[in-house]
Amino acid sequence: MKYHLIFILLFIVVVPVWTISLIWNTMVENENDAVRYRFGLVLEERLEKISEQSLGILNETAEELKKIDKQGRDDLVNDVLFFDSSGQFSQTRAAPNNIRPESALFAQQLFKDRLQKRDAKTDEAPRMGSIINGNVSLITESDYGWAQKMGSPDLDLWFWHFLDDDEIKIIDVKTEYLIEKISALPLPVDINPYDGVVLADGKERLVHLWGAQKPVENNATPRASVSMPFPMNTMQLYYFTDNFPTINLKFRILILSVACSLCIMGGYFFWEHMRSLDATMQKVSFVNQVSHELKTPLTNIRMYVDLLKSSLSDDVASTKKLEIIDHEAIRLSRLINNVLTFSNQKNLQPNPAPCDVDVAVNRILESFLPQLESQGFKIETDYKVGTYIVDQEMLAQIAINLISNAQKYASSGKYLGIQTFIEDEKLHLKISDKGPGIAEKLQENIFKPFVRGDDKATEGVSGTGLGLYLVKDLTERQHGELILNSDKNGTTFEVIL
Amino acid sequence: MKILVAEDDENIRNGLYEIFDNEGYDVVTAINGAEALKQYKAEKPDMLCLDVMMPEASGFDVCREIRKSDANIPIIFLTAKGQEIDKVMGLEIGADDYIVKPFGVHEVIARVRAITRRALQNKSVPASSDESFIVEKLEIDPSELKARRDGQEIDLSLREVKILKLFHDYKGKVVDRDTLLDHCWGEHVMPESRTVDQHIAALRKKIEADPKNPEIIKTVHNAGYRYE
Repeated sequence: MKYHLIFILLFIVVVPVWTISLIWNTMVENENDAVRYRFGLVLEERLEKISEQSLGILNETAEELKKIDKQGRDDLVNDVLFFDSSGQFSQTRAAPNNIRPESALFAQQLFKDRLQKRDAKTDEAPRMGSIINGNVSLITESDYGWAQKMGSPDLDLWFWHFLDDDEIKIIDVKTEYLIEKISALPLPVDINPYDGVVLADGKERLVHLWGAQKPVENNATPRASVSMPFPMNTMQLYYFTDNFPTINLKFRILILSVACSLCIMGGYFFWEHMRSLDATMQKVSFVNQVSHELKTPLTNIRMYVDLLKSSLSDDVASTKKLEIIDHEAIRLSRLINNVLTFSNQKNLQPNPAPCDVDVAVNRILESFLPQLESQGFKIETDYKVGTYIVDQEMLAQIAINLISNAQKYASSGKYLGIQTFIEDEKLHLKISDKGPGIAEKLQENIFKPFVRGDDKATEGVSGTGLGLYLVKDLTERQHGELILNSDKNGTTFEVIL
Repeated sequence: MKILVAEDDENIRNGLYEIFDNEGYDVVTAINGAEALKQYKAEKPDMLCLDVMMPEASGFDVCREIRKSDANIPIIFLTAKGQEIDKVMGLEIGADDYIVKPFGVHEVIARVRAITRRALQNKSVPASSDESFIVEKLEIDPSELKARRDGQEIDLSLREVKILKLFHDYKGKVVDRDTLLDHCWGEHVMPESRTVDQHIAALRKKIEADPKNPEIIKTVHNAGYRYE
């Protein structure tokens, strides 16, 4: 019993806790992921603002670069080159020997692209750039543009500008100029100054840091990143922050309260279960106690009446009186058994086992015989079953109540018929009398507890009104059927099990 | 044959004593489970009749304890509970039968005789004599506790078998009351003088065609009885 309870308790506690922790973990993980993702998007947006501002600086610089002549500007330009459409170098700030050969090829390619663009009448897919020896340029629809040397982590920028159809200016731009300008950008207002925004080059080296976060010292991981606009796209903007949100308190409280209420519910049901178990136990033990207390004196009455009868066997008058005591004691035990069965009904379970039905039924009939005979009953029996699997106790109680009923309510007919037979593999027990019958309007109610026949019929007949109710209940507990046939010529109860 | 009756209610215990004694058993009684175990060891009964609800140790406890050392001794439970589960439990822990309170004398006698018959046939209990014998038209089978006449069976108690056996062995001789008491009740028992007569009267009712004019056991005035 104790192990059983511990098992239930474990079940009630462990299963919800385990389920809740599982749900909790999954939800928290999911929610954290979602929060991280959403927060990451927010941070990216902030970085985009810097990126946009950088684009502005690039455009400004482009305008400046367009205006540059062969003299150049030392702060902005490493070198300025002029080529004609055949790729012939025309002018430079540097010494002609130092001209890099790829710049000439680049110039040639730009001219070629420009011509192709002009000749193309069809909607061929726009070319996003042309690559020459690792240099990449924007499509040459406009007269100027940026080119970046690919594959190099260092920022290596060229600016090109068609002066006319036969001359192009290619500028080797000083990237420090651009980076300085970008570094001078103020931190957007929505970025917490205690966070850190890092501009890193293609080798992940720190180029500039906005804000108070020291990501290198803290060995922190960036929460968001955005590439710089072309042609600075080898560079990245990173966002570092300590104020990284996790799921909010409301959500935690919600899950915790669900968990708590589940536990409380589990506890409540457990408590209820224990209480009902306790009540059942009390009831059962009460029933057992009462049955013991009632049956001991009854046993003594019956036993000593029997013993007295055998000592007084010659004294007919005394024996007759003793027989009355005996019969009344037997009747009292039957009534007690009915009441006990009724009060212990919830715990009744059929316990079918092979039994000789005919012998069992006849034994019950025998216990009624002395009284039935003294009342002048004619008794007919027809037993045809033999052994059948049935709950013998329940069958006995059914038979006792039906025979007792016939004796009590149909004594005027002076007939009792008992039949047992098998039909459709089922046991049939038929108990019939030739009494006055049961009024039709009563037939429905007669199986309810504490309902007895109408007053006239039951006048002077004792009983608790439980007999037929128990007959029906015990029959149904065994998934059987109870059929009542009654008219003014008599009544037949047929129990099919 | 010795039977141990354990029952805490004094009246039931005394009643059962009288019933079993009348039947011809040597009866030993115990007022609770603990005493029942003590008596079991001291008296070595051939059969037990145990109340289920007893102080000290329940009938089930006693049964379990005894079954550890003896798997065959017949055990009958007296139970007031009457609930199916109790009966099943009683049989499962090794009881041979159960009697539900409130019981009548006839039920107790019928059950005990059935168990005795089984025990006699299994030879788990030594019988005084196994061989059947014939008294007038009666064929008496001691191990069946039955007599047959013209195909009709008559139930007998242990004592009735002993009485008939005595008349059979003393055929033609007068058997006085003391001899009957010595042989059929045992020397240590001092029953009332009427006891023998009552038993003979009851036996005549069973076996005589006309009990008022007995043919088998005849009364010898002022001496005793005689079977001729």
